[in-house]
Amino acid sequence: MTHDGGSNARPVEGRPLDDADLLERARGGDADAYAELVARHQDLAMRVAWLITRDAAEAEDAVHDAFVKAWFALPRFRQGSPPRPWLLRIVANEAKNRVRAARRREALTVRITAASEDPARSPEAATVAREDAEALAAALGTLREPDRLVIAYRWLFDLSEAETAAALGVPVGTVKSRTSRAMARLRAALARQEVTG
Amino acid sequence: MTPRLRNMSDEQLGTALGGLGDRLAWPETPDVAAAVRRSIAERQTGTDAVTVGSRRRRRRLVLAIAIAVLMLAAAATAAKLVIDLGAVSIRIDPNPSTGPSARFDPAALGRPASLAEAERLIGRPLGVPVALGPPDVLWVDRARAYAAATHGTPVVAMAWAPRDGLPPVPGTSWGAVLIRFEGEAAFAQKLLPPGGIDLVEVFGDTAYVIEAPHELRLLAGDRVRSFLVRGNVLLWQEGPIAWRLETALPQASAVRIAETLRA
Repeated sequence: MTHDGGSNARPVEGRPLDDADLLERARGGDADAYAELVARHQDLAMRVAWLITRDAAEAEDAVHDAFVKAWFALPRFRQGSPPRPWLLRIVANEAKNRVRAARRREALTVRITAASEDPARSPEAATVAREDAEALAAALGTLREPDRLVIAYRWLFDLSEAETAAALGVPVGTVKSRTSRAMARLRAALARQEVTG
Repeated sequence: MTPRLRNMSDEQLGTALGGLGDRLAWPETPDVAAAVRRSIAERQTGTDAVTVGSRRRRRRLVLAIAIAVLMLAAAATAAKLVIDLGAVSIRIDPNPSTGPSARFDPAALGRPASLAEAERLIGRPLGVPVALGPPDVLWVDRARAYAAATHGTPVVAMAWAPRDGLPPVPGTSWGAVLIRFEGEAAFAQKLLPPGGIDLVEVFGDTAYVIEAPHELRLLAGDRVRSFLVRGNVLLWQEGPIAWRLETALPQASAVRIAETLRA
């Protein structure tokens, strides 16, 4: 997954286009630039939508429709703001509109592959034993959506506090307090696992 | 909780979560970029309507809404962009028609009723903005096509007379008009040119503000009627319910009213 948006950029005068460049072109009506922006963020958008809907088909619909809505809303984008949190906010809103209370939710599970178990794959992964990863995934899956989302933005997707604040539409100070409360609830969920076995 | 997790600080737990990001069994990401690009291209060439909303959901409702769809389709020409809010849609058209001259009157939606009767008909509390208080007038509509698609749930329109802080909506004798649509069958459509709409949030979800005069096509009394709307309109969705609030207030004030909606 590309979070910084650098992999597909077209070179201009030897420099790849960053998200702000692409968004500015899209605002001028360049649908190709917009498609490239979407391509950069579709993985992250899909994960955010799925964390909310816990339904892959609903998440796919939400992501598609959110990106079409965002294109339509480009004239209202505040210039100078980072595009990624703005896009994620629209995706998350679209996904929330699709949550159906009675639907069965897909579980958060750890993908067990040789690559994922290779400690050399990433330093962070090496710090999380498989047993811990499974416990964390299960606990995360029991949290309410606002807690799950703030933890995902801050830790799973490595957004800064400022980006998380923009994506959630709240002040940075609120992100700090929400993260703290969400982490406390995550610990409580982990402790419940210990009790229930 | 494993002993390792129990002894971690929040920062360490965060790092552990960071390592989890790529190990979760995420669903495969389809090529959304290509689909979005195609939708935009269709819009630019005008070969098809781009409809924002669940394609699968609409398929499930095809039979139930056949009557209404046919009626609205007959009234519509090739669309450029449609935003689907369930029972209400917003159609952005670069070449809108000259529009109707009839001003919108919520009485066109049906017959007067009491709050208690409306709640009995919809089978649950109606929802009234605390900021506005009980409506001065209320109407319900049980058009056959609408009833067929919503199992009898009527459209409910409420209106409040102008007062301090609630100026009259241009072209009407009301200070605020709130309409509640239920279900996913299309019964009202707003038609406006590009740029006439703004995105806001109501209860944290995307909502739409239209502050330019525009056409409203409405299935009322089993026929499509067309009105000129000159007020500021806020549209938002709460699950299967679409709300339409028309006032002469700026969008921030309209959002504040909407967010006082209580059942």
